[in-house]
Amino acid sequence: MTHVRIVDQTIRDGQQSLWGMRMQAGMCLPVAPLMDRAGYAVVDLVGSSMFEVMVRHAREDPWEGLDLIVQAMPRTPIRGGLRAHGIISMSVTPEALMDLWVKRLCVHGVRSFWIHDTLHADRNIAKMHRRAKVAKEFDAEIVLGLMYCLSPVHTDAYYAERAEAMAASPDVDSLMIYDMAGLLVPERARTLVPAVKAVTDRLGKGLEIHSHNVTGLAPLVYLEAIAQGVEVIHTASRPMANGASMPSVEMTLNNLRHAGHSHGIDEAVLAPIADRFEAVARAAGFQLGVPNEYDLGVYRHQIPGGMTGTFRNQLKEHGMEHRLPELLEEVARVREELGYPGLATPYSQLVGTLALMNVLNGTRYASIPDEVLHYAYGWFGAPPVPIDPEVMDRIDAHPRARDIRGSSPPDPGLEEIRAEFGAIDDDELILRALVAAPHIDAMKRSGPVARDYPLVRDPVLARVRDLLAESRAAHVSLSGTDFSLTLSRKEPA
Amino acid sequence: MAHIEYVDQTMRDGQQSLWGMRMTAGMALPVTPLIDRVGYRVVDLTGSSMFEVLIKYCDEYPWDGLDLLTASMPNSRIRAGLRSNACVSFAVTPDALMDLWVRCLYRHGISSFWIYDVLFNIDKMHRLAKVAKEADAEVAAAINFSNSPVHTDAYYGEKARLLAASPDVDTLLIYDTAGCLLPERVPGLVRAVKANAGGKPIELHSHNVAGLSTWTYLEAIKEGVTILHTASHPLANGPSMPSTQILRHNTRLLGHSDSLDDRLMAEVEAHFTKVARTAGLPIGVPNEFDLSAYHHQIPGGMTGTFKNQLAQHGMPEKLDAVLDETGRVRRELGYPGMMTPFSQLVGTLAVLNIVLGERYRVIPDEVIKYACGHYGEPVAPIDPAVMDRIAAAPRFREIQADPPQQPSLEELRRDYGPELSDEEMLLHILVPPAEIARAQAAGPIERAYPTLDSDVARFANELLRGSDAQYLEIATDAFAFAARKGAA
Repeated sequence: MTHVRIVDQTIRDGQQSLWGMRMQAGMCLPVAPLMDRAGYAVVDLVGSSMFEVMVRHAREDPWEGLDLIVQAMPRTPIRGGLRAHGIISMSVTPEALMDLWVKRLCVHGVRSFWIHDTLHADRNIAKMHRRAKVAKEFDAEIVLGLMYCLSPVHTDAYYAERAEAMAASPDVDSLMIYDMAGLLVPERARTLVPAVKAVTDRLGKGLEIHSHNVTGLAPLVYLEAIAQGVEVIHTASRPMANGASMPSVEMTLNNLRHAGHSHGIDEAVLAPIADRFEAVARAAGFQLGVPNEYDLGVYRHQIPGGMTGTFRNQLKEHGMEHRLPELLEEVARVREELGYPGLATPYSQLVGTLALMNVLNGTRYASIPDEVLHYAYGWFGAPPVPIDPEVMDRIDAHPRARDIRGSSPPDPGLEEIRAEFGAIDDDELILRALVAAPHIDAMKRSGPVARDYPLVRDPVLARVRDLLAESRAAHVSLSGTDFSLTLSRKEPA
Repeated sequence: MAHIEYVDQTMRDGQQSLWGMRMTAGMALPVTPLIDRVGYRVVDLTGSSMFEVLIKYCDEYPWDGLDLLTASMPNSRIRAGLRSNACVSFAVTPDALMDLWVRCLYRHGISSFWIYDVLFNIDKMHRLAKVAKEADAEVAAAINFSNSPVHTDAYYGEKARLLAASPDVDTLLIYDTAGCLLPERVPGLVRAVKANAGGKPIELHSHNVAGLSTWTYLEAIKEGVTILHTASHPLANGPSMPSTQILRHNTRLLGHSDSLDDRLMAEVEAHFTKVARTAGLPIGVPNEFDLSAYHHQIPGGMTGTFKNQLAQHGMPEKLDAVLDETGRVRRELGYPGMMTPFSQLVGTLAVLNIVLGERYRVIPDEVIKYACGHYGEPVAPIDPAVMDRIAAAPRFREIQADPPQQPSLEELRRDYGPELSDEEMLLHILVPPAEIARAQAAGPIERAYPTLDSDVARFANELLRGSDAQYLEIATDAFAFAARKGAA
């Protein structure tokens, strides 16, 4: 039987999947010491998109938030994540900036990294190894992601072969099977895991698994993966688990016990942690994780949950909500034509945008965004299989093709980048590369990071607040025989 | 590609699993004419336990409610369920009364019956099927699924052969109470049943306890099952069955057809969601996959009962111990399927064993009756050491010497009171006369249920319920609202 180690995803992918990355440091700080004592192998925490969201929407300095959380968790290694060639959504980030990002995270106390790119192209793996080398200078753990998706190309042999290339660097400690859309089923885990495990065993690397419980099958996938030799799995605290997120740590431990496996988690701390995140979710109006019904549509389109929501909103703006099924079909078709990129950032956006344009324009490939041209001309690395020739012809015929073909993404050195942003420290430089200046200025004006988050403990008051939000009235007064209450809306700042 | 038919469980097992059978006729009547037209093969509706609950807790006279409901669904085949030898949890009901149940239910609009017995008293199941068939009703004979070393595919194949042998049985119903039928078990099980079904259709009913039932259904379709038991969204999932909506979605993606009307389904869904919110009853949510469900096979509702019982004894921390003990007791008692009355029987004994700190120190009468074969033959022999403990119980001899009687209907009428109608007599077996009188005195059945469909109204309702106030007034610039507690 296996001693299973747990990577906690509550405050990274849990909140990314359910809260849209809106978790402020103060929301988790009061329970961070408990999380530190739980016995997790790693607590995943940081990503550049979350930095972006923190600045933009919470006006909170993410470096300061990171420092507070790292200080509150002295025992547990904190993980940061990055794509091999980008920290800014749809573009290729200069190498110098990528290196700087890794270095600064290390300086701020990040001790574990997961690095990925869904194309798994040779060039991208070389970039992963370069990132790994930088982090290894700080003695951080390095985990590279094998991004799981379905296509005729993405066979067990493909993953084994890519695993071999990824594990080739001495700086890599582990590989991770990363099932971002919840497409992995137990039956496939039975063949995929041994194929990859053979490689990691031979090269002396560890193997983790991360599966989004989109269809409700991730807990079974974990049990199967463990049976096939995986020892590290990813879970989240109950309110931050399930639905688009991973399985809950609570149920996972129960299942491990019943399957005869052991774990080193102190279960006593789990309830107060879950209570905290549930209370925050309720107070902030965030989604609580609930398991999904088993939906075969997930396998058909392979579209991450968040993307479907975005599509629905975009179609709504055009009064075309009823065309969602058609759009989802188009996504699958465009993905095939573009050589089956796995649908994670930036390829999910790239394929999604193109599919949306195809549907809205009524003519396929009538307009092609620059990012698709970048992709077609190899800026992001080679696709798993070549782009469909007819589609490639359409791309070649595009007016911008001449400019982009044969070019490569701008790759200024650190000095050039520094010169562009002026005399600021490296942390601020990274923030300014991620978000526009006015957001940074607003963040700076908003003062130090809050250490806590106000919870509305009284359910009655919570409902009154909802009522106020619903009524659009300037004030709400409630009077019962034994109480009266008046709430007035604050004038907007 | 197959044409999939659905047995609607919204008003029967959906609400039994999620609402503790507290659905009154008025909660359903506003949408039963819609349900009647959705296109279900069968609408499951009632059973004796629901009669009991309606009288005891809802002050509703169930025969009157049933009449209104069946009259509002003239196009549907409406189903009721029967245990082969009992209508009250632990007792054994005389055959004459069971037959009378069938005849009375038919008289009140039931034209389909599902008959079950975890211990497979085939003779009794066939006798009830015959009575139902005399009334021209459809009969589904249940094969209760359970996991144990004895419950093999061959075991179920043999039961299927025995059940299907009666010309009065129309369909076989694979019935997975505890949600422990795994997708991987489906091919073996369904093939074994199908091979012995004599060409009779197979229905599948699985509680989505582990979150895998939808998948289980899709596997079963591959094996030729085309009749699925599902519930409208708010009454599906969790301890209930998968939703009709998700099955329809998935089967359509696979290219299968059905006769369901989406628009009507949406109206029914919206209605029951409103009722649940207003009444403060739970709305079904899928469960996270739970491996322990396979280990102890405890029906969803029972875990809640255990928690309450342990809380009463001040031992809330013993839940895991009781769950493990349940699995052990079930094995020692010869693996009865975990369904009424055996789930209660095994569960009660497990709680006693843990709470008293000594196994089998107290043995309830019902366990002795079970050991004496009063409910039928156990699936596997009782563990000899445990059988010795049971035989040593003070009440053993007395109970062994007093097997269930089979009085005639005339004798029963004389005992219960010749002045009672058939319907009243049946109710008297279920509940004390005073409670029946109270339900009758409560007046005519409510034909609707006041649903509060605005957040503001719901809020006021909650606030009133949660406070001592009798009167509540909410005023904003946009509206004013006043509510008073209790009857006007």
